Amino acid sequence: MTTVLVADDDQDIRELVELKLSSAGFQVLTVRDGQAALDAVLERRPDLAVLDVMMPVLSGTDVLRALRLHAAGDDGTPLTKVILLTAKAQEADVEVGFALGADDYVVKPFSPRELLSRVQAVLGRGHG
Amino acid sequence: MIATLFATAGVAIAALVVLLSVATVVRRYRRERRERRRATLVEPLRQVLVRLVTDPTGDDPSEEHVELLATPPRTWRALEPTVLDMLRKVRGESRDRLVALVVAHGTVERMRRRTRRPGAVGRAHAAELLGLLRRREGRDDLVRLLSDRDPEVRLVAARALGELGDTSAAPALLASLVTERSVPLRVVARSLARLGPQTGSTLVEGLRSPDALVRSVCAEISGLLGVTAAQESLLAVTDADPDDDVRIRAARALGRIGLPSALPVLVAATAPDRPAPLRAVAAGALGDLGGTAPVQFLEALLDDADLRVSTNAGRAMTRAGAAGLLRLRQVAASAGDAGACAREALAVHALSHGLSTGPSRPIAPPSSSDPEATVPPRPREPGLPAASAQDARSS
Repeated sequence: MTTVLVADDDQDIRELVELKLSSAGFQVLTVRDGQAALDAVLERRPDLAVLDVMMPVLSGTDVLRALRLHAAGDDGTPLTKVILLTAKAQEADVEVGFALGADDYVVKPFSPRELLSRVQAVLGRGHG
Repeated sequence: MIATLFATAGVAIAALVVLLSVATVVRRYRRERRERRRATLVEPLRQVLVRLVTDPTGDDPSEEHVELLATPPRTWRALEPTVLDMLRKVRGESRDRLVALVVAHGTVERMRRRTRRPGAVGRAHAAELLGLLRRREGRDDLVRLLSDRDPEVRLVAARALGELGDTSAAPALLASLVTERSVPLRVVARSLARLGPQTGSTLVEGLRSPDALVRSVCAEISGLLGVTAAQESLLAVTDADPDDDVRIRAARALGRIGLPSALPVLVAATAPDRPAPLRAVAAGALGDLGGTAPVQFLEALLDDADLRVSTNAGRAMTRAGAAGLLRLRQVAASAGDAGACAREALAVHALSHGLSTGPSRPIAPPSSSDPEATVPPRPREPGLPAASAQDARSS
C-alpha cells in the first residue's frame, strides 16, 4: 500500500489530510514537528511526505533539505517525494521550495480535494 | 501612632494581595474548567466536522451535515469557534460545506445583530466573521461599521469588506478615507485591491474626487489592478493634477497598465520643469511601457542633473526590451554621466537576472564628435547572454 507521511503542527490540518488520503486508499502516517517528520521518513520510507513549512523543531524546508542530502537511492533519485503545504504563498517561497527539490507546492488555505489530486499526480498514478 | 498606621496599611495591602491572588486563581480555574467542558462537548463533533470537510462519501447533503445541523444551540455555540477556525484553513468545496452549516445555524444573523452591540470587541469580532463567511447579507452591516465610533472596529470592517468581495462596497470604502472617523489608508487600499478590477468604475470616479487622498488611492489601485478603463483619467491626472503625490501615483499606474497611449503624457512628465520625483517615476513608467518608442526619451535622461531621474531612466531602459538594452550597451561605452549611468543600469540588470557582468575593463571614450556614429556596440561580456535572448526575456 502506498504510504504518505503528513507533517503539520496543526491538528485540524493533520486530521483533514489524513482522512482525505486514507479514504482514497493511502496508508497515512502523521507527525507534528519537523524532527519527527525527518525521523519518520528515514525510518519508514514513505512514498510521499506532505510537509508543512512552518513547523516546530525543524521547518518543512529544513526537512526537505536534509532528505535531499541524505535520503537518496543508489542512483541518486530521492526515495521520498515531497509536497510542501504552506501559508507562504509568495513567488520567492515557492521558488525556494522547488529549488530545494519539492515535487509540488500547495498553499493554505487549501482544498483537501485538490491536495488529493496533487498527491496522486506526484505519485504518478490514480489511487483508490 | 505612626507605627500603628504603617502596620495597618501593611496588613491591608497584604490582604489585598492575597484577595487578588485568590481571585486570579479562581478565575483561571473556572476558565480552565469551562474550556475542559467545552472540549469534552466538542471533541466527538470535531471528528464529524473533519468528515464533513473531507467529504469521503460525496453525498449531498451529507450524513455529517445532517448530524451537525441537529446539534442543540448550546452545543453548537461550543462547537462554533472550532468550525470558524477550520473555515480559515480550507477552501473550495470544503469551505462551502462549512459555510452552509454555519449559515443554517443562524450564525450570520447572530453576527449581524452583534454588530449593533455596545461592546467594541464584540462588534469587531462580528465584523471579522462576516468577512470570513463572505455572505452578502453582511455587507450593509459592515459598511455601517466603517463609521463606527471605535477605530479598531472600523479597521476590521474595512478588512472584512475586502474579504467579502462585494464590489458595491467600493464607494463606501473610498469614502471612509475622508470622513471624520476615517479608516487607515493602507487597509482601505488593500481591501480595494482584494475586490479586484471590477471596482474599475469606482476607481475612475474616485480619480475625479475633490479629495487628493482619494485620487491618490484610486490612482495606485488602478495601476496595481491594471484597470485599463482608468487610462484616460490617469492621463489627465498625471498631466495636470494639483497634487504632486497624485500625479506620481498616476504616472506609476500608467506604467503598470502599460498602454502605449500613455507615452506622450509620461514623456511630458519627465520635462525639466516638472517636479523631480514625478520625473523620476515617469521615467520608470516609460520603461514599463516597453517597446522601442520610449527608448530615445529615456536615453535623453541618462545624463539628467537629478540622480533619481537618470538612475530610473537607465533602469527603465533595461525593461524597455531589445532596443533599450542595445542602446544602453552603446551608451555604456561612452564617457561622461550618461555612460556611467548606463553601465550602472546594465550591472544592476545583470545582477537581478543572476548573470555575471564579467571582468571589469576600461571602456574607451568616443573618439569622434559623433558618439553614436563612432562608438561600436559594446562587445558582449563573458556570461552575458546574447542581446536577442536577453532582450526577448526583458520584453
